[in-house]
Amino acid sequence: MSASTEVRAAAPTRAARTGPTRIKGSGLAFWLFFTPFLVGLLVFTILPLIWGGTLSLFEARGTVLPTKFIGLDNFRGFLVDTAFLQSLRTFIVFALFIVPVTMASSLGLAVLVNGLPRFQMFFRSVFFLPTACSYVVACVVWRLSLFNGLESGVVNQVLGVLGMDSVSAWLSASPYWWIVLVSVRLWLQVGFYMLLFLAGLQAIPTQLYEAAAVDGLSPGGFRMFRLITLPQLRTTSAAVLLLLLIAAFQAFDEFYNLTGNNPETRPPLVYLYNIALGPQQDFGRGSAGALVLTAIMVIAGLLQTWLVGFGSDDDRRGGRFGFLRRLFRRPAGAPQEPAVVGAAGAATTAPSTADLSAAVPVSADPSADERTPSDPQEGAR
Amino acid sequence: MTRNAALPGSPRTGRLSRRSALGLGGVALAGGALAACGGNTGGLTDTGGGGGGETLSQWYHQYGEDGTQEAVKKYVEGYDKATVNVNWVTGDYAARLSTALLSGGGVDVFENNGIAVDQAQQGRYVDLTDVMEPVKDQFNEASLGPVTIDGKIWGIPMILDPQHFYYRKSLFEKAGIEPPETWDDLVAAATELTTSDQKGLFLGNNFDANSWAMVWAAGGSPMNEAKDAVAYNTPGYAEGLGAVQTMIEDGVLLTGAPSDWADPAAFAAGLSAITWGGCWALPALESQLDDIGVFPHPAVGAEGRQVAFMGSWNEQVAGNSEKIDAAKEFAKWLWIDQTESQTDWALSYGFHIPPITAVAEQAEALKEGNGLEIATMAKDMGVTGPPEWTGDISTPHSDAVSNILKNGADPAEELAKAEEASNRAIGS
Repeated sequence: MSASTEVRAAAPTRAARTGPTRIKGSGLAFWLFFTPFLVGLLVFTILPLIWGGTLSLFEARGTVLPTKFIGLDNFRGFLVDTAFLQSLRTFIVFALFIVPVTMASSLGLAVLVNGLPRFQMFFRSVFFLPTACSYVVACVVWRLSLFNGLESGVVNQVLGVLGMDSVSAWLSASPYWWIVLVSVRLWLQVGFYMLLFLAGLQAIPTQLYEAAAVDGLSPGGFRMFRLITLPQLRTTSAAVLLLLLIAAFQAFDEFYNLTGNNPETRPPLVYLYNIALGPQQDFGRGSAGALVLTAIMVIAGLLQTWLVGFGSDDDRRGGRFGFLRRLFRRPAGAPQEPAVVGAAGAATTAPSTADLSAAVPVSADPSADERTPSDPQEGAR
Repeated sequence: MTRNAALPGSPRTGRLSRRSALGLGGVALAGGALAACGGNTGGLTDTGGGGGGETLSQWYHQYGEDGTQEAVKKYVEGYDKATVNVNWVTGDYAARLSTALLSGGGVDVFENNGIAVDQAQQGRYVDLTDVMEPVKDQFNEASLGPVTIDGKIWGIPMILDPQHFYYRKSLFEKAGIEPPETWDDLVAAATELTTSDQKGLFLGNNFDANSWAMVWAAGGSPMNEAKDAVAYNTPGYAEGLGAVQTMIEDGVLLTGAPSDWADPAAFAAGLSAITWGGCWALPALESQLDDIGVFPHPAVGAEGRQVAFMGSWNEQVAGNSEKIDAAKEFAKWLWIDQTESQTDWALSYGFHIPPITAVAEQAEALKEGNGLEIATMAKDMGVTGPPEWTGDISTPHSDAVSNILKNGADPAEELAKAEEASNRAIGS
């Protein structure tokens, strides 16, 4: 066989290998790098997970080597455990406060910082700095300084200046404790989510804004924000929403440090901590509760992903929200602004925005902000 | 030949490539990290030890008083049958101790203020009945309650910490008020002494610091004699908690203080005229104020009685220790035989009552003034929580108290619900 025939015969074999080029010696390095983390993952995550799952089926008070199998009794207990159900309600109330407030604040801050002509890096750092602070330290400051119940407390001083009565029960009465709990978490995490939004904002192509300006929107106006910025931040918003929900679910430090074992402000993790690692040392119930909580978190995460469409394409999302869109969307070709309704009740069609922008010079029209650009999503594609 | 094969230092050539070096570095780092994880010194400060023979590990929680850490080092230096390493455990002592007792590492002798029936049954503690039985009559009766389960004794009482009320004598005298003996009298005194600058009473920032003692003061007890049901739900208890609700509404109680009731700072700063507190605060208070007085928890309701709740720390031996005999011998030596060390420990740094009656009677600090009154309370009115009072029994009770005091829930209804839930926990 000639040399050229050998080459031709070997070619299909090489072509079949479609993966990345394998570098000799990299196998050893891979295992050298990977093994320690694999061992760590197995020892500190996988094994405890399996062990926890096993413990949840046993009566395991004060021992991690239980002998009495009780099946699903630990799980059944949580269905009728009013304190656990109350802790879930506490979480829901907390999430209802903290998630929207953090989202709105971090987005607002990101837009403001992004719009700064100078000192952007400075303000970015300033707002991000609290993220580096520990929850415990922040809680001490909040409890002892800002929200102590004396007249000398910082917030009470501010209330005094505003002519309002001071509050002594910041941490011992509802709804005051929610102000303390929400504000400390807001301060600590708003900078981090601001950075995420900032990254999202900076990834929006400037051509979109230019096109919108040509179509008649005033730069920096609210409609520009609503029709371009917000839709373009959909993926970031979905990620932030998911992260915020998970963080709210995992809330522990501020509740533990500020309000202790108060049943009204005891989120699920604090309750489970008390069961498993408090004086009860009931690892069986604690593990069962942790699994119940994990299941709730997974379901909530999947539901949120499915609804908001984190990582999915627009068409699929459109399918899920089709009924909503049909409610609000105008017929194709119709104007997106409210049509002028005539005396007889018949809608008179306005010219399309493209027509408008062609007909009216943007700079000369004081009501330019009231017009709608063509679909920004289209422009993005 | 591939490009990699031509690189000098590749594995094939036998020399160390950059990749291999990084890989080895990674392994070394991970190995170091794992080795660090294997250590059992997190949060512990080894303060050295004394003696010879076997080596014992003794655990203390972090006491706040100056000189305490040096004192425990000094005590073990006098012991010659074993080398005792003292571990001064910072942070969450109960959690760290539970973990150490469960995993069986690093602790032979330890102090504990919450002996639990579950842990005793699971063999986390060594039965010290043989050590205590010959001498138990020498101990304050109240001190034996928290260490006794089904007739067996699991710990040697080290110190007793009565909890009671402190008040400002000058304010009482000015208003013509006597130290209250009933809850109604206390409510009236607190209301009378409330001014725009000073609240009448401090029951902790959560209003519940005295609620545990109030269970006895209202004529009940946490559990019945047979320990098969709770016994805290009494009409007097509901009445007493109802009176606290009224004081909250009337603005008589201090809340939102920078430090809570266990720390005397708020009371010393003049933020309230009366406060619930512990005997440990007496030296600090007497050094700052010259008109301090003490009185026990007043009787609550028709069936009530005056009480002082007795907290305590007790020395125990770990069930998983490999040197149980040596540990028992050391515990007996320090907390039964060394009466001088016991007096020093109780009264030289903070203020605690030595549980051995003869030791307490000889202590000068307990022979006059507030010291004498506290010692008398401890002897005549002391009550202690039973070891059978476990977390799942106590949670419904503490939740009910919280709902009553923070959410204004009806005391009788909440206590009835809690009683049912606690009894369910006992039965489970």
